[in-house]
Amino acid sequence: MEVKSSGYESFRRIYREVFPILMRVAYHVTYNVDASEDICQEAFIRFYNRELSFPSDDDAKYWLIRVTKNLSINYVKRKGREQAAFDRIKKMPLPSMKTGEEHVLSDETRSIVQHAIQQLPEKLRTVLVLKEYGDLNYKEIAKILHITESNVKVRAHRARLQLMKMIDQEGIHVS
Amino acid sequence: MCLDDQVLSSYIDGELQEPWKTQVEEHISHCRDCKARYEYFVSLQETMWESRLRNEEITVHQERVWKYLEKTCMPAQPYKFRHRRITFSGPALAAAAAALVLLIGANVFFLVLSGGTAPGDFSIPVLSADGRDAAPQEEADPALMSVSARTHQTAAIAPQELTVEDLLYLLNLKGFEVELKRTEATAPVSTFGEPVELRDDPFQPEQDPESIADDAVEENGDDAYDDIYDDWDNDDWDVDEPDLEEDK
Repeated sequence: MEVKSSGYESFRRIYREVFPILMRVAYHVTYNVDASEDICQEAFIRFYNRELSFPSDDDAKYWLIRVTKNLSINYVKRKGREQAAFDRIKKMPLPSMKTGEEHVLSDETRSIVQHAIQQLPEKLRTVLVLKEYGDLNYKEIAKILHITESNVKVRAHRARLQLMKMIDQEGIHVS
Repeated sequence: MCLDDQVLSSYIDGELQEPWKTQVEEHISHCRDCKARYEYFVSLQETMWESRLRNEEITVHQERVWKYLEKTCMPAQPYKFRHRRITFSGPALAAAAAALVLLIGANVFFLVLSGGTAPGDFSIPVLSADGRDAAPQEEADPALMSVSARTHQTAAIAPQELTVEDLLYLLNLKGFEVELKRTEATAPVSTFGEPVELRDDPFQPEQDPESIADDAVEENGDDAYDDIYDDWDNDDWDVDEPDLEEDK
């Protein structure tokens, strides 16, 4: 069954199913709710306007996740560049990358974990976010990122190790 | 050496196949060292899940974005149920309007013929069989006279013989809002078969969805990154089968 991205019924069905996943992926890459909403909106606009067709709902879902992941990473990169430019002007040392949402979080451990996730290299972070927040298995992640399943496995493992190392350096042990 | 971290990570992700899965479970049950490492992995996962965006937090955004998409992306959806829009072509609308006018006009005239004067602030001249005016005309206004004068010329007028213009005029005087609307003959909807919107978008050749998905990646940034982390795609990193060693 072919799925048309601009068919009203299929679009509605996919939107209902996939939006929460996209929102989680965008949020846990950017840690900014408003930016995540914009990113999800942009992803669905592209999805609709491009009038694509997919072999199945799952393939449409992978496409959307891939676009959302790319948009989120671009957002983070752009933010990082803006922050760097701002710091150069102000001649201040690089502050820790804390976002507005982080200050609201009461749980210290949570904010440290978030902070550590943000410090992970992009390729490790993407795999871990898709795994833990996107509810996807290795096979699906491999399809989305166009890498092999065993590569997903390696990256997930390395991401966890780095995360633990960073959390230990912060002096806080996860409960 | 006990369990590999890699194996533990896969086990936690639920990606370890049998028989290794059972072997890992068995090993953890009696090796304190591996159990501690396993629990540390699990606690890390649980901490990550705690900061997970909850469903109720997502709903607000989901509804807002949907409203936006409905408004901007799909304004002319033919199969929209709540705001269904029906467009008729010019001739169809004119025919429908004429039929409606005739129906109302006929009713008014039958009422007049049977009841004498029509309700309202003026009376319509009632014609008797021999062509004389049977109704008093003192209160009829001059505008009406022209209609009555015209109808007067034909003796024993039947309602069907009135022209559309006459009926429209009378209805207008009665206070009905009569408006004949005509849509463009080139309305963007085909007049037969299923309602299909005729898009005037320029033709776009079919594109590979995957290549479009990659559009979102900024060119320089991602490529540069690929160079740095190229070695991760190397097979040397891959562990195809978990290495399990028996407990000492």
